[in-house]
Amino acid sequence: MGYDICIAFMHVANLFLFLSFLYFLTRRGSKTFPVYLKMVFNYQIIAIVTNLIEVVNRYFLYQKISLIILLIFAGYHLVFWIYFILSALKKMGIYKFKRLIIIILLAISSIFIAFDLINNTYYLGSLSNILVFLFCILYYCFIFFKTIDDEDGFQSNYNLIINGVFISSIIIFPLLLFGKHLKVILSENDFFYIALFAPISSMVLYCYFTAAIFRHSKNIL
Amino acid sequence: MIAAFVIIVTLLFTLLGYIFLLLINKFKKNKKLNKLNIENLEINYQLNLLKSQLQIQEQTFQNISREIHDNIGQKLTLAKLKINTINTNQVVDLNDTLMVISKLITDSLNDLRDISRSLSSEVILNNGLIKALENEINQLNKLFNYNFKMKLTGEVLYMSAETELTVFRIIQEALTNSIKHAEATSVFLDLHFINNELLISIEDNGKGFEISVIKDLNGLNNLKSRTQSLNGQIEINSEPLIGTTIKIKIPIYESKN
Repeated sequence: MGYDICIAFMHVANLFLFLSFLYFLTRRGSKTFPVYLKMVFNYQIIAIVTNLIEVVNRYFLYQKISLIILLIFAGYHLVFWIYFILSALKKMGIYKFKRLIIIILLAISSIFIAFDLINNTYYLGSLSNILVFLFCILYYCFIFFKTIDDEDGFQSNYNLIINGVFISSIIIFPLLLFGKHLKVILSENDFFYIALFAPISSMVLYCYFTAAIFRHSKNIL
Repeated sequence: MIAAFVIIVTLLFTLLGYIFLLLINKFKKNKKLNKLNIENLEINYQLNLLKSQLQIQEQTFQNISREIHDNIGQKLTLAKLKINTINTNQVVDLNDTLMVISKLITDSLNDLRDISRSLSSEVILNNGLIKALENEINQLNKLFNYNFKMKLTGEVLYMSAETELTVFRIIQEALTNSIKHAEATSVFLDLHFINNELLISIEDNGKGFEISVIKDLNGLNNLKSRTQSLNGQIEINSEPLIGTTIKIKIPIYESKN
């Protein structure tokens, strides 16, 4: 029962992603989108592709392929969002050196992907979530203490997306942090109820995407 | 049970996250509002300063106008009347009359020179504040035959030409007030340089006034505005029939020139 509900929620989350992507496409036709929305658009494409592969793979039950997809997406999630946050800080003139951090992150992701593949674990998922969460906190610290001229409203636009990432990472935080432990102490049914937070977190993130696109379109109109 | 606990904890965390975001948002809004308020205050300050400068300018024009009308105008009118009443047949009287006319015109020229000198900033730019004040005091002593004294203590620090000019105008205005409004016969000017500050004290034995009654006098407002424009402080103490003391403290940002 718990598993079925979890799968159903995952489908709903995928539907949210697809709808948000479609909404983006409908708005994209007539207007030029700013960099941050283009980045979100790229993220959506990668998310859709990995989800599609995962859905198809579910019917063939190739465990290893499923893990590879999950790990690649986790690595992409980590590098992409930190790059996004650093870009926002760079745009605000607070922080300028993002290349080194991105290279380090890529190296860490590669190491963790290799480690997880060998040991059949999913530590990169937890790590990416924690790091993204920490960088969100870092971003808030920066904007908390610095006064930024936000005449074009870029700060609020970036803010909306980063808020979405922050909230979604909080929702999934306990699951990724204690997932392995919970799997042992909880019944399978109960565990899948808790695992519902994963699709819910994705839904929240996609809602924020849609809101950002909507706000941008409204501001332009 | 454990599952419910984890769910509750997750929801609680999410709620805290939302509260955190709301607080950040509120803080940013407040910060933006404060920044706007500060900008508005600065604009208002600049406007007030400009208004004061215009008032000072207007007051200066009035002073010049009054000086020309009451003093030089009268003398020249008298000179013209004398010329009109010259009787060319009475050669004996002619010399006397011409002497009087000559004296009137000479006085008028002197008055014009005094006005010009007191308005010109060249004295300050060429000689510096102290020399300019000494000249001013000497001139006032000569003109009014009053007892003007100046005392200088501490190591003299040189300020920018604009600051020195403003300080000079402050003291000049205070001295003029003592003569014209307070009808003082003795004025003591004390300049004391200490710890990057200039302390000025101007004491007169004039008729004094009730500060609460004539708070809005133009002359006093000019003094205040000029002092504020130098980030200085001014204190005016006055007692009817005893005299007035003006104490001014001006910070000095030393000039290399």
